[in-house]
Amino acid sequence: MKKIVVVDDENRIRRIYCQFLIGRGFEVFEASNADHANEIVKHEKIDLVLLDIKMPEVKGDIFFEVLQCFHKRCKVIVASVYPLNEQKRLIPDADDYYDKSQGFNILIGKINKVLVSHAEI
Amino acid sequence: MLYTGLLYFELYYSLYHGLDKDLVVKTQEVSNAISSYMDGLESNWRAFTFASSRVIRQEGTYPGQEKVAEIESLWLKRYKKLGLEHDYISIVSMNGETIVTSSNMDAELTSYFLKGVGSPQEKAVSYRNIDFGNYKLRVVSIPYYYKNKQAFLEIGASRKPIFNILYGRIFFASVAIPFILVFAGFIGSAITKRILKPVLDVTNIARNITHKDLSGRVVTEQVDEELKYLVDAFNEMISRLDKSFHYVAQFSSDVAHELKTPLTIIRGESELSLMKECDNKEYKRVIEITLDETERMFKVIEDLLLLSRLDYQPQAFRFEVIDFSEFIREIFEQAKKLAAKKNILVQLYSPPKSMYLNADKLHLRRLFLNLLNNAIKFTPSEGSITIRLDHETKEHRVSISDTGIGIKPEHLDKIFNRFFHVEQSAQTEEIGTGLGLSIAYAIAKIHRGDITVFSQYGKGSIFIVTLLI
Repeated sequence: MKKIVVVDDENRIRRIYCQFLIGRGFEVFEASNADHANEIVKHEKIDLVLLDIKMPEVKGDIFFEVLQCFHKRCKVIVASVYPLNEQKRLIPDADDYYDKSQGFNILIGKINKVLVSHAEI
Repeated sequence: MLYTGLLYFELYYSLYHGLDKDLVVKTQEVSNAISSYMDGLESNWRAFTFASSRVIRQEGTYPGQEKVAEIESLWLKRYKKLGLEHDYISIVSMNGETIVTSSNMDAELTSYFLKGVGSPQEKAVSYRNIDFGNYKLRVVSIPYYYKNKQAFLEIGASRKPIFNILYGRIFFASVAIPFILVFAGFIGSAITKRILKPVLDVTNIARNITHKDLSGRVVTEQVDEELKYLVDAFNEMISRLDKSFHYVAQFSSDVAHELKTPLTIIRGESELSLMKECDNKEYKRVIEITLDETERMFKVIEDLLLLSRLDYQPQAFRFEVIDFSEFIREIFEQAKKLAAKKNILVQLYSPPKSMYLNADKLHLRRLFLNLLNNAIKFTPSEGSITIRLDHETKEHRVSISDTGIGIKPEHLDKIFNRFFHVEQSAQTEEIGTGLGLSIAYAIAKIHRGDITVFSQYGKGSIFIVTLLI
C-alpha cells in the first residue's frame, strides 16, 4: 500500500483529502505543519507528499528543500489554492502541481501518474 | 565686438605712448652724450659738430679726442643697448640746415626730416609722424642748447612694429574670435550634454516604466551634485511605487487564497459526500461546514471592504464627541458575554470620572472588539482578561492584557500584516480572516492613535491602544 502524507494547516482541507485518499486505498498520514510532516517522513517509508505552500511557521517551499536534501525518493505534489504558474514559480522542481480548487478527479490522476513513474524507477 | 574695439584703441594708444617715451629717453641720452663729449673738449661749433657725428655716426676726428676715449667706449655700449642703430637720427641747426644724420638716412629722407622741423621758438618736446615711401616713422624732436646757440635733435623710429602688433590684433579679432566662439559652442554643447544626460536618462527610464516593470533606476555615479537630488528622489519614487505594486500583487494573491480556501473545502466536502451513500447525519455535517465556510467568505469580503474604506475613504467616517469611559464600559459588558462561553474572567479598571473623545463610535467599537475577540480566542478556558483605562494629558490609553498563549517574538512585527495567520491550534477551531488586527490598526490610525503590543510566549499578551484627545 502506497503511503501518502497530507501537509496542510487547514484542518478541514486535511480531513477532506485524507477521507478521499483512504477511500482510494492509500495509507494516509496527516500533518498540520512542516515539522510534524518531517517527523512522519523520517519514520515512515513515504511514497508521496501532498504539500501545501502557505503555512504558518515553515512554508511549503522550505520544507520542499528539506525533502530534496534528505528524502529524495519521496515524490512531491504541490497542492495549494495558488494558481499553477504561481506554484511553479515558488517551487520549481516538484513532481507535479495541483490547484486545490480543481476537484478530486484531477488530483487522483496526478497522484497515479507520479506514483507510476515512481514505481518504474 | 565693442569690447574688442575698445581693446584695440587702448592698445593703439599705449603702443604710441610707449614708443614716444622710448624716443624721448633716446633723445635725452643722445643729447647728454653730445654734452659729455663737448665737456671733455671745448664748447664751440666745431666741437659740437664733431661730438654730434661721433655720437650719431661714430665718425670724425678732433684734436685731443683721446681725452674722451673713456666716454666714447661707454657711449658705444649705451648706443647698442638703446638700439639706436635701427633709428633715424638727425641734428638740424636753427636755420634749417642738417648738421649730422645717422648713416642709414638717405638724402630724400633727410630732406623730409627738414620739412617738419619746429620753429626756433619751440622749447618743448614735439612729436610728428613721417610717412614717406616705405618709411613710416614716429619722430621726436627736442631742442639742444649750447651757449646761446640752439639746434634740434630728432630721432625717428619705425612704426612698423606697432602696425604689426595692431594688424596682428585685428587679424586675431577677425579670425580667432569666430574660432573661439565655435570652440566655445562645442565645449558648451558638450557640457550641456553631460549635464542633461541624467535628465535624458530619467526621461527614458520614466518612459519605460510600466506596471509590469518597475525595476529601472537611474545610475547616479556620474551625476552632478545638483541633479543628484532629483535623480535620487526619482529613484526613491520608483522604489515606493515598486513596493506598493508589489504589495498590491501580494495582497490580491492573498485575497484569492483566502477566498479559494473555503470554496475548496465546500467543493471537497460536497464531492466526497456525493461519492457514496451517506446517512443524514453526514449530510447535515457537510451542510454545516458549507454554511460555516460561506460565512467565513462573507467575513473576509466584509473585512476587505472595511479595510479599503479605511485605506482610501477616511472621509466616510463620522466623528462625534463620545463619553469614552462610558464607551469602554459598554465594550467591557460585551466582552464579558463573549468570554462567558470559555469561562474567562474579564475585569475592568477605569478612573471614576468621565472622559470625552472625538471618535467614530462604530469603528472604534470594532477596534476594541477585534482586540478582545483575539484575546478570548487565544486565551484558554478559566483564563482572565484585564481591560485598563488610563487618562494622560494628551491621550487616552486602553490596555487589554490576557493570560493567553502569547505571541512568538519572531511574529510580533507581523501580526498587524494583512492575512497573517498563526498556526491553528486545537483550542482555536474557529478560523479568523487574518484581517482583524490590521483593521484594528487602521482604525487606530484614523483616530490619530496607535496600537503597541507586548507579549511573552506561553504567558500572555498586552495590547495597548493610545488615542490622542
